Amino acid sequence: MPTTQAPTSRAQTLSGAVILLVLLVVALGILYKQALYDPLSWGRPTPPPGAAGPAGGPLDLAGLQVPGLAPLGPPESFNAQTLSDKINGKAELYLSAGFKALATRRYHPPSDPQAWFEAFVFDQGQEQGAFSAFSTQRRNQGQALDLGAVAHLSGTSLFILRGPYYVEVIASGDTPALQEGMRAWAKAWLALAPAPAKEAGQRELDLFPAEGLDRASLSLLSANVFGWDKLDQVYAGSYQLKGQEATGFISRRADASQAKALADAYVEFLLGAGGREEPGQGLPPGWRLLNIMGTYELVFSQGAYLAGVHAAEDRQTALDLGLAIHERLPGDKP
Amino acid sequence: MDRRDFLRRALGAGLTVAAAGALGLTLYDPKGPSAAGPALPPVKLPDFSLKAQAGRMAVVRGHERVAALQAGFKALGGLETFIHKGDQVLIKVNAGFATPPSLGATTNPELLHELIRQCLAVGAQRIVVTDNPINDPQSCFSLSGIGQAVQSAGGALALPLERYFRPTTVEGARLIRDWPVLHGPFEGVTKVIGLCPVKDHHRSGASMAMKNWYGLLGGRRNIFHQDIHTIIAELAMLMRPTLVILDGVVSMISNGPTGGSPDDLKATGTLIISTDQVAADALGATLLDKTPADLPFIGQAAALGLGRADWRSLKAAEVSL
Amino acid sequence: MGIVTVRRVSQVFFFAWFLWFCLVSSLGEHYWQLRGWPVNWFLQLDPLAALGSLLASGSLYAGMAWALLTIALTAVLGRFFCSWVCPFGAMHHFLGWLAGWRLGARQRVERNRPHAAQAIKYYLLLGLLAAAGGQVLHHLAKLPLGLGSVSGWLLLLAILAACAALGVRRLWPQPRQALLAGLGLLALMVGLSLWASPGEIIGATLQTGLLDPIPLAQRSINLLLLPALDAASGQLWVAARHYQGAWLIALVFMAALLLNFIVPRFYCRFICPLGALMGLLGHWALWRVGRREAKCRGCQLCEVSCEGACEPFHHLRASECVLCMNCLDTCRDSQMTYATRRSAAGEQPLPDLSRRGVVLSLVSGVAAVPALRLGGVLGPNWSPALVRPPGALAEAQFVERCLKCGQCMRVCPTNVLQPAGLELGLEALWTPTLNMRIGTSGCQLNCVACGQICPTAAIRPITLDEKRGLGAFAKAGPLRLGTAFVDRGRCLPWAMDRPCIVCQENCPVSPKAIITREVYGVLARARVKAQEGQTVRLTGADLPPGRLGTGDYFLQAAGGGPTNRQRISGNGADHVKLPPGEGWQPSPGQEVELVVRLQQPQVDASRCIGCGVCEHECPVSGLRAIRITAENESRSAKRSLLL
Repeated sequence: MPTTQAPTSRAQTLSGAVILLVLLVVALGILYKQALYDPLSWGRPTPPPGAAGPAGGPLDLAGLQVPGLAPLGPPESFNAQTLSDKINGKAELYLSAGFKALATRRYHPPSDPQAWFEAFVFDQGQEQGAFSAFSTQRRNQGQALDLGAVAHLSGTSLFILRGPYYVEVIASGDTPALQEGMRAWAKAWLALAPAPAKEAGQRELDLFPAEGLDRASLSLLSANVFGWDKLDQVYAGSYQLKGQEATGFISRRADASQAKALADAYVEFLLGAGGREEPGQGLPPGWRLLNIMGTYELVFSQGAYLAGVHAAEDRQTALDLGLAIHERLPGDKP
Repeated sequence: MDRRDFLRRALGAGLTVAAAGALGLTLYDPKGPSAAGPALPPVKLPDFSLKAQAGRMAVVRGHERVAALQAGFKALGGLETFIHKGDQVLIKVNAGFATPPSLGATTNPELLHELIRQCLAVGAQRIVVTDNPINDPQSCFSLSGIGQAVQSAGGALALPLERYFRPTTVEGARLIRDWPVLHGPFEGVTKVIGLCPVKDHHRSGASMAMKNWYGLLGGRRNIFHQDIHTIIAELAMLMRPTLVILDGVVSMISNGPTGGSPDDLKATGTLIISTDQVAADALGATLLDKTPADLPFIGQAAALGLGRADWRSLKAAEVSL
Repeated sequence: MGIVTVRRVSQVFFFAWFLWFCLVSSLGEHYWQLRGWPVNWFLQLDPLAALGSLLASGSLYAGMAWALLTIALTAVLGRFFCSWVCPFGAMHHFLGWLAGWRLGARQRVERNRPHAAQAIKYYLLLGLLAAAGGQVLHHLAKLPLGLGSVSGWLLLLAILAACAALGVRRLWPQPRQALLAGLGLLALMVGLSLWASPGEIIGATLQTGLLDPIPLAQRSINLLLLPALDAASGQLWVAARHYQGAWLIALVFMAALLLNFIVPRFYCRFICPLGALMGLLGHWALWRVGRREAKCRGCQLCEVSCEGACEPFHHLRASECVLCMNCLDTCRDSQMTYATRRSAAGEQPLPDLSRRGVVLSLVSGVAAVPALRLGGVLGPNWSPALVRPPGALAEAQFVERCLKCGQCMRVCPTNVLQPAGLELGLEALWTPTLNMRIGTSGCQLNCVACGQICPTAAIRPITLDEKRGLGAFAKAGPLRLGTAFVDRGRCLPWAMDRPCIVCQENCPVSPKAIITREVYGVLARARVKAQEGQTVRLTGADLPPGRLGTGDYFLQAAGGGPTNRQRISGNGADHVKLPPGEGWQPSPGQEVELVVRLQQPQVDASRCIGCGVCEHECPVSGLRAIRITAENESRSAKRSLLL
């Protein structure tokens, strides 16, 4: 049966147009609705009342006024019990480094309401703790910032070390507006936090021999260092010597006998983990050199310091770096 | 015609929209239900104690229950002191187990029969006997002989029907909160008597007058065995009876509260009638060779002001048959 | 542009949004994640979901009020939803077209003939609504008891008046019969209320979601299509999503779709209870499809692609017309109109429904509830395996609201939320329950997504504070889903002397709800042959070489004790190594024991929230050695475990 279409009536065309208009309104309504988003209601922790620290202090983000930035929601604060609510999984890293309190707040630059960044101010109690958090969270491709403090920008994140405070600012993107906002925020915040005489860890960091050292790699490992739960508070830095890689480490203990006992126990741990003791010729007395699955571990104590080389690619690199560290360490030389 | 039809339809469609809108808006609930669910009106058991008769107690030594009951009431000035003409009396028995009366795990039927008879004799209008037993209720009432005693004496048996239970909160209590309690049989009741045997009880030490109210609880009540002494003391808060009658003529001294063998029973020759349930239990404890101090619930109830742990201070009327 | 084209645009438009909403229902702030997308919108527009939950729960929850818009439009326009909005309808429309695209016009007209079975969907609707209306009946039956009140009398009078009106309007054949029926109903109610308390047996259950097309489509796409597609592409989730008993959901979904190859829009014509409801709501629709003139050339082209099988050529079944507008398009003479007057060829408002069928389906619906519950599923025989998500209402209220739409299971970030299968009872079918063996974790401590998304508040929209018992909820404590029970016959440290405290380590509650008791299990006894430095040689022992240096194994003097025990740092078949240092040292000839230090887990039920993280992590991968059941769940005081 052949069909011939009757011409479309005006009424049909008109009602069709009205319906399409309604669909357009529906679509706009949906698009508008999706922008109304309250992340709090879906399971982010509600902030406990009160600031993390005293008013006007570095933790008082409610009192911090940043020109050109609009806060996105109230500041939140967390203590050691509630830290894992905010940073799932990584809380242990801060807790082991003496974590006291965390204050956070989200902001967005007025020029781009869709973009936002969140500032995390960690109070680590002591300068060492802040340095530990700062150094272990550091990214490789960082760009140092001239803010009158240890600070660098890496992609979408900005990191600051200031006294006992470690600050992370994480942004939703890397647009210029966001980076501008993050810098402005950092400047305003640094005004709240007085600069210490010398940033933490300088004393130990100065002990690392400069040759072959990647300075950006210097870090303070607070706990469970090199996979051993007894080893803590170890400064470590990566080296490249004659094309071979190794990690030097230095840890100051309470006194010489404790440093010695820890060195011995660490060697025992390495032996238990499958290490083989290397013959001792050419080694200063008391030094222990182990081969563990093809890399070399050198351990010794010197005065109150436990020091050594971790994961050296060959025996000679381990010895060279060990001797270089030994030269710079104070205390009774063997 | 078309126009009329259209108007009629317009009216129908309008009414549909209006009805849906009215219903929807009336029942509109922007927030959602609360955690607690629909709240039920609170119910409370009244206080059945007689203030003028507070702290009265009779202790009858003898081995005949019926005679002992008669002698005891006589010593207290007659049952009419407590039950008046026209009273509706609820007797809470211990019908906990479907065992014969000879095993002594349940209220003695002869004693119950005599109590009902006497209540009716002093003019009580109606006698209700109830319990929410541990075993199947119907079996319990028939095998324990209680059902027959009630029937022959002219009382009425109230089985613990599910609809008789209402969620109840006892003021100041920690455990009896929003818990189903047997309310139905108390409808119209003006006096309450607790009538139960003295029994050993593994978890609490003894099951006597206060523990007898456990049979008013519904639900998964055995959860309270985690804190047995507190629940017994709270039961004494829940129920302020007119009288308690503690049958220690024969006591279950071992393997309580079920017993199961005549060897678990011992003739202790004592019937206690008291308006103070704490004092009655304190004295009852001695029949089981225990002191009130061995039974923490007695001290707890006394501390709550529900009665006296020092039963001797009541100056009980003591009768020997 | 013809109206049919506009209809197709609308269908594609809404279908695309529906798919998009299913796709974006993952927690997150990207535009392709949840954000503020109104992902429940189709469920909220669904008048059957609204009416069912309103009847059953006595309230219309928040967004469900959108259904009033659909009702209003349907009352004026007819079943526009079916051909213009309904995403399930769009699927049927497309498949029905596919099934018939090579058939001749005559055959297609044949397929679109009205069928007596089109009445079935009305019976289904009435049965489902009657099951949901138990609560209303309960209140009605109790009314005569409150006759002292004015409202009670008014309501009785209203019922009588309604019956009389039915008679006068000839909807009931004989006026006297109607009046008698009204009086009979009243007598029954008075009798019932005096004689028994019907509340004990009559209850409400919301089962519309089994067949309601919107929850059905939502559930099928959420729990079947997306997981299946994502298993191939891996874009949405890190780990593959699983939904237990998906085969049954698939069976219903596939059957509904494939039946289009027998009769186009099979589901819409014969089964869809939402279509039936809209047919009734549109009874007085102002605009309707129909013929302009009583006479036409009779080519029947108008029925070639009639979606609703409403027979516009002959005698229009008004309630069956889904407003596809195809007849307007195919008629060569512009005979077919959508206008305010009735069809010149005549129309009938509904398919032939028998009064007997109506009564039977109502009675069956009411009777189904006690029948479903006589097994005691809401009473003593409740299923401890039914672990409900946090914020779920008490079971009786839960089944009055749950639509079985699967939105909670879709949004659950860990996939632990699962559709309950038939083994948990017909009433609970496809309602949410936790299965700790599926997914990436148990119920996460800091997530309340399921309650936030639930369109009917069967899972209440709780805050994190309420879930965790913080702030204003500190006194009430955290919400408990159930309790973990250790199966000591399967637990490694309890049953097999193997060190393991994975459950304790993973318990997210602080302080932990799993505590451990430390014991030293004796594995072997031996005698010391000699000690060479740190190496102790033993006689009478045959040790697995290299296996005892893990830190969990100790050498101790026979009889043990903390002061004469040393951790083993390594071993061979006949010797063990001890670490250097002070402490107990064995002496040659001494009787010694090789012991393993075990931490045996125990649950502190007063702290356990039943989140199931322990069960999820338990290394006994089949039947776990620690398992959650619903005892002690917060939503039911009757199921409490502790005082």
